[in-house]
Amino acid sequence: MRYLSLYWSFFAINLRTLYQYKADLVIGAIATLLTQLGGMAMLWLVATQISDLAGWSLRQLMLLYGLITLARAFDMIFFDNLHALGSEYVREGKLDVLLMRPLSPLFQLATAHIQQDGFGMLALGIALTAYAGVSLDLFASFHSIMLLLFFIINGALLISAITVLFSAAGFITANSHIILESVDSIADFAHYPRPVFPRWIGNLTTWVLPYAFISYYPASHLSGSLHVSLWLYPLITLAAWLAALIAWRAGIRHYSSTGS
Amino acid sequence: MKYWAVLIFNMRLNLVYPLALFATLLSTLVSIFVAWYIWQRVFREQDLVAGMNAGQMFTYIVFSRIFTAHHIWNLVRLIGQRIQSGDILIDLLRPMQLQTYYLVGRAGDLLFMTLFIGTPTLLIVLPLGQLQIPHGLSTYLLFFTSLLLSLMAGYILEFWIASLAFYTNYSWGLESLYRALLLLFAGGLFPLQLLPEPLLMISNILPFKDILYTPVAIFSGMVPSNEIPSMVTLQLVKVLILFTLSRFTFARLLQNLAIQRG
Amino acid sequence: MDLLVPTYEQIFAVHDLNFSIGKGEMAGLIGLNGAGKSTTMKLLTGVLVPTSGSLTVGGDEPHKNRMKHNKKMGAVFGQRSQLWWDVPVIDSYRLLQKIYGVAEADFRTNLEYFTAQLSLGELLNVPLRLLSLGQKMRCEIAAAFLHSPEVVFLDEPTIGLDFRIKKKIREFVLNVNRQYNTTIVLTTHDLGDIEELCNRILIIDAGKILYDGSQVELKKNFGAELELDIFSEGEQRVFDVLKTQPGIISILNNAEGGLTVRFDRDKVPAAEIIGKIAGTVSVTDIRLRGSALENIIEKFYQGQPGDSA
Repeated sequence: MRYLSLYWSFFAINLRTLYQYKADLVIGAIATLLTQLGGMAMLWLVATQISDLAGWSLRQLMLLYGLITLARAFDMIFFDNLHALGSEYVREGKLDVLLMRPLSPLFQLATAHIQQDGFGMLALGIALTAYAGVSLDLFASFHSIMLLLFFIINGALLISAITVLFSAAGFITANSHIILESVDSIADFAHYPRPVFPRWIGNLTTWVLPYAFISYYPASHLSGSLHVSLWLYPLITLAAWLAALIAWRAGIRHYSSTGS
Repeated sequence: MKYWAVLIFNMRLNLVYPLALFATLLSTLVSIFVAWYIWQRVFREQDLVAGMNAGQMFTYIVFSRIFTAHHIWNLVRLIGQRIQSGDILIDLLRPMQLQTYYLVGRAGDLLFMTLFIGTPTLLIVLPLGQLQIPHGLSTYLLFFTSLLLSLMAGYILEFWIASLAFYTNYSWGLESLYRALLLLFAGGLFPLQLLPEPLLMISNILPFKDILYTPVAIFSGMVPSNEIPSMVTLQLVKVLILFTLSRFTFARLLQNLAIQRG
Repeated sequence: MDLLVPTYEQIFAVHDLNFSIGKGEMAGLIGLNGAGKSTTMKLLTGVLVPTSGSLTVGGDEPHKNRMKHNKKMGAVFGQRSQLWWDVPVIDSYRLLQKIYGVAEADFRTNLEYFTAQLSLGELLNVPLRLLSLGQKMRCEIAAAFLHSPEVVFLDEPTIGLDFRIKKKIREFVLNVNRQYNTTIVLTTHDLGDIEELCNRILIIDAGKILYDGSQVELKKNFGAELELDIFSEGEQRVFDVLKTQPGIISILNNAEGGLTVRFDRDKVPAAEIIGKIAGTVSVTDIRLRGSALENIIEKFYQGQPGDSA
């Protein structure tokens, strides 16, 4: 498909750009790694005090944490440029250039820039998931490996859909960054087991912003404690993408009819 | 009188970004909720954690988050507005000692944060747990001393980082890094007593602890009253060292900035 | 292209725009700030969608067949970059080749041609951010033509450039138009660009088309003012002879040490003036110039009803 080969070309350009800013890559990556590590450190400290948190062992907590971290890393690396939609592309009119090319503007926006800081998060996510996976015997059977991959891929796609959806606010407010940051804060809850929090927070992360389907439910499924129908995951992801694309369509129509 | 004017002006400057305020408030609240609900589970099974009771821990969590938000807000403003836009040069022209000017400005930021982040946060989290406040005049005095020292230390570090950001042209990464260090080594995420020995020693040497942990720990009642004076004294010594270093470097840094920007 | 109205919060940015530009034509869109030029350009490029009426470019409606339309067109916006910032120019070109689906042979032919015309040789391997403004614009302009578009929109393509680069760019656009019959729509505040390139001129003001016709006609109807540069030994006498001559608008010293006589050719032909002077003083040099497009357009605006300028 044309978009796939184009994607590779864009990615190659991004890598070449990254290479020019090596020092930044290291600083930023370390920073995000440390920030996310903090949350895990807190869990580890708690684990030294009590044997389990709401029935979750430290290993299980690491798996949960690792899953959401992987998804967030993916979102940060590949969709971070959406934060700039409001200020750079709408307000400053850079969007015009994208609209004049025979290529989807959303695709162009997402591929214009890779956020290298995300690699720090990626490293942490891989480390946690791998370690937890080994301790929980998740790599023992083909079936569980496939299941793990399924959850990881679905999680990455779901979280990106949420980012794309809320970035569309930038068409109207000329500032996507703030709303994306706010929505992102809520994702912090999904680093920990749902039962730890009161009902309303749990509902928030399940039905409003379905982060729980990236970390909590998959981790529960993999450790055998809770089973939700597997069809639900891709369904939610699909619905999220649908909403995101509709929002974007409306946003571009709005931009094209009022000018700047 | 002019100091007061500067202070109020700084407060108003902050209000220019109401959305940023909302986002900061939200992330502060989320951070508090997350930490508290987790630690609450621990306190269900035991009364004390490393010598702290639930009230002290809760107070610590709330105030450390508010204080962290304050630091990050400051750093972002400093990097974004003062140095990159070159406003710093205008500051140099003002008829006030630059450093005094900044300190006063920072006090204005603190007032702003107290009103617009601190107050709503406290109101919202009040029903969650038991906030504790210090007893005794001497404790309060020592607390305020510690607070002032932490502000001074904070501003010195922020200035160094902002200058570094200017030279390397990579502000986002350094902001991130600073936030991460605040969370881990300054007590932004958890009281430092919980750290294992080797890390605890590192945090004692690094200046980050003095920016955040010391005053908040004193306020939360986590420090036995007989240890408070020595803690504050140590903080004083470290801040004096920072201050001396800053004297040497600031003049040079400002010169360079002026040259580069002009 | 037939074209109508988008609304912008109840204010009509452009109104009753009706015009048609043929294939291979080079049209210039002239207007003061706020006249509706950029709105018109945005409509033509498909960035803005009209609220009523129809707009087709090469048979396609820009916002309905966006992909098809975008492939056929190229654009240069003087204040916005189309190329990627951190990578060598050639990499940007290669990416554009992929995006527009240009065959390798065509790509090479075009690239060679543009490189020769715009002296892109040493620039191709340099990242865009390291280039000067002039170098950048040359690369941007070439980029717009790389995929052999049928129509190219140029918005302030020479802004901020020195005269030599302007010349190069003008030559390039002219050559491409001649060779490939590419339709060009140009809008710019630099009337020198328009004068050299556009045989078709549209003047827009307050969202309406005031004039739509050829440059030749515009000059004929409003370009009655010509200028004679006279270099002689006895300037005072030239002045005395001409000052009472009807049809003379002004006699001024010019920068080169002679006199510039501005006159209305409908009232007194150049030949008559020259005749009068030749008999009186010894003339070392004489030059006849048409009025600059600027003056002609100014005359046009003055002739419009309701003009307060």
